[in-house]
Amino acid sequence: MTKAVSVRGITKRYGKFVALDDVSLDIEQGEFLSLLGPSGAGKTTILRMIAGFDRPDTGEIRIMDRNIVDLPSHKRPVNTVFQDYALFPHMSVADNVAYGLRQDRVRGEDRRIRVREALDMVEMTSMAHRRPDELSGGQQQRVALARALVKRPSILLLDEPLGALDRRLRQQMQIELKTLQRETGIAFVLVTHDQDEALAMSDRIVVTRHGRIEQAGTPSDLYDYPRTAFVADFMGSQNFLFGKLDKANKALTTRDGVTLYADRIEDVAGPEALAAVRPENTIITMDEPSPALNRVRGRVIQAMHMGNTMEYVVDLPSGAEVFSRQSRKHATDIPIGSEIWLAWDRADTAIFPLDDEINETTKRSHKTMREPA
Amino acid sequence: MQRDIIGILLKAWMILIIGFLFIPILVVVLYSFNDGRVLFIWEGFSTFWYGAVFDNHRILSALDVSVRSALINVAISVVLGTVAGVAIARHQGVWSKPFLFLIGLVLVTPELVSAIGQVIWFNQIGMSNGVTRLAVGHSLFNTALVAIVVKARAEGISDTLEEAAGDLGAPPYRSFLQITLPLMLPAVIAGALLSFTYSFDNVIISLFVQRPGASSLPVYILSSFKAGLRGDVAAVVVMALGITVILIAVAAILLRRGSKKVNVL
Repeated sequence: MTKAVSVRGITKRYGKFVALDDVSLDIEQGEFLSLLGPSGAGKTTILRMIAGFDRPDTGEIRIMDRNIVDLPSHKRPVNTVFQDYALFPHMSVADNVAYGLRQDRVRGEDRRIRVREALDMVEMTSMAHRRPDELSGGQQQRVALARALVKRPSILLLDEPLGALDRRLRQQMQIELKTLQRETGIAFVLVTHDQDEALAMSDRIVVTRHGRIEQAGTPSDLYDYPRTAFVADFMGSQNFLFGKLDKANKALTTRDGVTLYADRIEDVAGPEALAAVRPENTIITMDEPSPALNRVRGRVIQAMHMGNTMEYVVDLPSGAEVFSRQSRKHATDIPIGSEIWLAWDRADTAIFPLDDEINETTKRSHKTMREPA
Repeated sequence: MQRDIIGILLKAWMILIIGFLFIPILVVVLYSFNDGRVLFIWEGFSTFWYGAVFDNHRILSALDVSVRSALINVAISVVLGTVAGVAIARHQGVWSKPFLFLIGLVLVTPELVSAIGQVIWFNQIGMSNGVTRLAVGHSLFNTALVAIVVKARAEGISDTLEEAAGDLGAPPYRSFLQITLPLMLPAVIAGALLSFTYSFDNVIISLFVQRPGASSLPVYILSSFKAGLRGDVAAVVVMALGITVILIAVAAILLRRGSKKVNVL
């Protein structure tokens, strides 16, 4: 099948800063794809190049199998929902939605019907005569969606569209966006730095970092089988323990002299590596756990109540700290200061190459486990 | 008790200040209705001089020169100033800051300095049309003024609006006409009104650059001051005041509406 978008080897430099470094990427028709990464990773630049606001220095972008690098934005079969919505403040909601149709010389009754359909789709028909500044953030968001979708593009680009909404509204819009995408069958390309948002909505996620693609895959792929410590850390929370690698045995010996075994070992070059385990995959016991598990001894130094779970910070003799999340349903609360065993399955352990930006977990290096506000 | 006294004193103080500010205007409005031949000597109420203005061909010709030069000045300053303002706001580069500094410099240059420079310059290039000299002379300051007003507005308009228009299929010229220009219009109109008012009551530059036979209204009034003022001068000044106040009020309303809502008219 023809790809909705096919990006081939695009590079973009701003002075000395390399925004994109030889990026290639395919977007299928009807797919919900997220570009996920921290700020400055190049995800918005990719989006702006597909939209036609920026031009790659080298490389090719094909939309529905047509090279569009030289096509100005107003001639591309692509529409965008902007981060700040970019609604025209001097036009009513209906005129905003009609604007794109006017450019295409869609007239009269035909135009009225399509504007009406688009507004119905986002449930904004009753607001058709309001001005954008009379709408709430969520309503403006919907108008921006209707304005872009009314043109029936083959690809809809969304640049952090939910960033300005509060959390409850954001979750509601996530569901609506996903539903809208299924119903219209249009390929959605979403730029976001929020991994929960990407996991919740996407068919496929592309993680970008420093202008390159770090890893691409389905949400489950990325969550369960991250290939680098960076992706592992970015997709939910992760504990990292530094140690010496024994490649043959898929084992790593920590600074405390404890040997951890992993089912999975990513391509590691050096003699040292990071072992990783997610907080929710660890258990805390008072009795010595089975030697078939990975296990370390430590002391509980912090306990946080998270509602249905408890979160503990466990101090290891080496000074490393491991976060552990325990369901409150089955476990009793563990007092601070307790000497405990921390254990986890070998299947939940992964070994990654060292990474400049990822350190052994300590209280300071670890991002908070609370969901982003 | 003590608070009451302070309150009364403050009120009295306020009335004094308002009086200080507005008594000259009240006096001129009052004396424009003076029946007497000499402006300074009150002889009774009459609207005679308002009629007399339209019989005095020298006042009418000065008014004509003033209005024509003010309008040409508006045309020049709005076109140049709008382009400059948009350029500074939208196309930031190495030269934006120095350019902005120069515009600021024009605004604070003493009028005398500018006026003397202009006389020399106009004479060198042989510009001899009186109205043109006045119009160009006034438009220098006003171009800078319009540029500053438009720049402030242009900075308030997100440039993603133009991207959005392009994204929806509008070629650049249409996105400028349909999106950028309508949003900028309040500032452009306000700039035009300020420019007109500045030109209409300017004295110093007009005095230097004017040609014989093409005096602007303020210069004519100044010259008749020596000969002895009559009521028609007060009447024309009050009419000019009325026009100025209306124009400035419109400009202020447009600028306020522009910053609160970007509704256009």
